[in-house]
Amino acid sequence: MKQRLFVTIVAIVVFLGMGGRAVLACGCGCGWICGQNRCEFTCSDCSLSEEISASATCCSQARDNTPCGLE
Amino acid sequence: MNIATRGRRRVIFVATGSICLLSVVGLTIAKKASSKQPQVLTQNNKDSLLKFVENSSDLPMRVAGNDDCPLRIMRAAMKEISGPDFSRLTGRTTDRVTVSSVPEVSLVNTSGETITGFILVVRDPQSRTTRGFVQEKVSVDPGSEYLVKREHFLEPERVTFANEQGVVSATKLPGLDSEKYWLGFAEPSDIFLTVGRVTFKNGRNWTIKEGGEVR
Repeated sequence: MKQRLFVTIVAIVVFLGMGGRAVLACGCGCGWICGQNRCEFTCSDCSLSEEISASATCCSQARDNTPCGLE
Repeated sequence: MNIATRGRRRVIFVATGSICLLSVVGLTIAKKASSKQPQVLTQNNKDSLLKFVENSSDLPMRVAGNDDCPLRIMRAAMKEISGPDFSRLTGRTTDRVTVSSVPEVSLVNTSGETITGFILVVRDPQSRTTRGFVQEKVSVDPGSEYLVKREHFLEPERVTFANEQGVVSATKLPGLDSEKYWLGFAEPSDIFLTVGRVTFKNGRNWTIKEGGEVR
C-alpha cells in the first residue's frame, strides 16, 4: 500500500517535472514522451509490429492520463 | 661499493624507471582520450556550420512498405552531415561516416475515408532501432495532403537561462545542434521510413505487414 502510494507520488512528480508531458516505459524496449495529440517514441530490440502495437496502446492510455509503465 | 649502496641504487633505478613508464602510459592514454573528444567550435564557427547545414540541399529518405498504405508518402526529405560535423554541432562522438536528420514528410490520403491518426516510423532493421511518433486527433480528408515537419519527431527540451527577471525555465524545440535532431543510431543508407498504422474516422485501422525489407 505504502509502496503504491510512493510510486504514485513519484509518477506525479516526474510528470509535473516534464511540464505535463508523460514519459512512459511500457514494454518492448520503448520509451514514449506524450504531449497533447502526439507521442514521440524510440524503441530498440523490438520487432516493427511489436513497436506499433505497444505505441498505439501506450499512447492511447496516456491520453486518458493513466500512463502505462508508471503504474 | 657496499651492499647497502648498491641496493639503494637499484631502488632508485627501479623507481625512476617506473615513473618514466607510468608517464609514457599516462601521456598515451591522455592523447587517445583527447583525440576522441569532439572538436570544440567557437560560436562564430558553430553559427556558420549551422547555416551551412540549414542551407544544404535535402536528400530523399528511403521509403519501404508504403505501396498499399492508405496514407502514401509522397516525399521524404532529410539533411545529411558527416560524422565529424555531427560531433562538432552536437558535442557527441560518433563512429558514423554520415548522420541523417529526422525527415520532413509529405503524406497523402489515398483512401476514400477520413484519416484521424497514424504512426510514422524511421527504422534500422539491423540494429532493430526505431524512432517515430503516434499522431492522434487529426483530420485528413480523402485526397488531401498532410505535412509532417521535422519538429514532429522532437519533444521539446526544458532549458534554464538567466535574464532580468532572474533564472527562468522554459521549453524549446531542439535545433540542429541537438543530437535529438539527428538519427545517430544508423548510417542513412541503412534506415527506412514507413507509415506503421493508420486510423480511420470510423475506428477501423490499417497496419503494416512485416516482410522483405520491412522488418
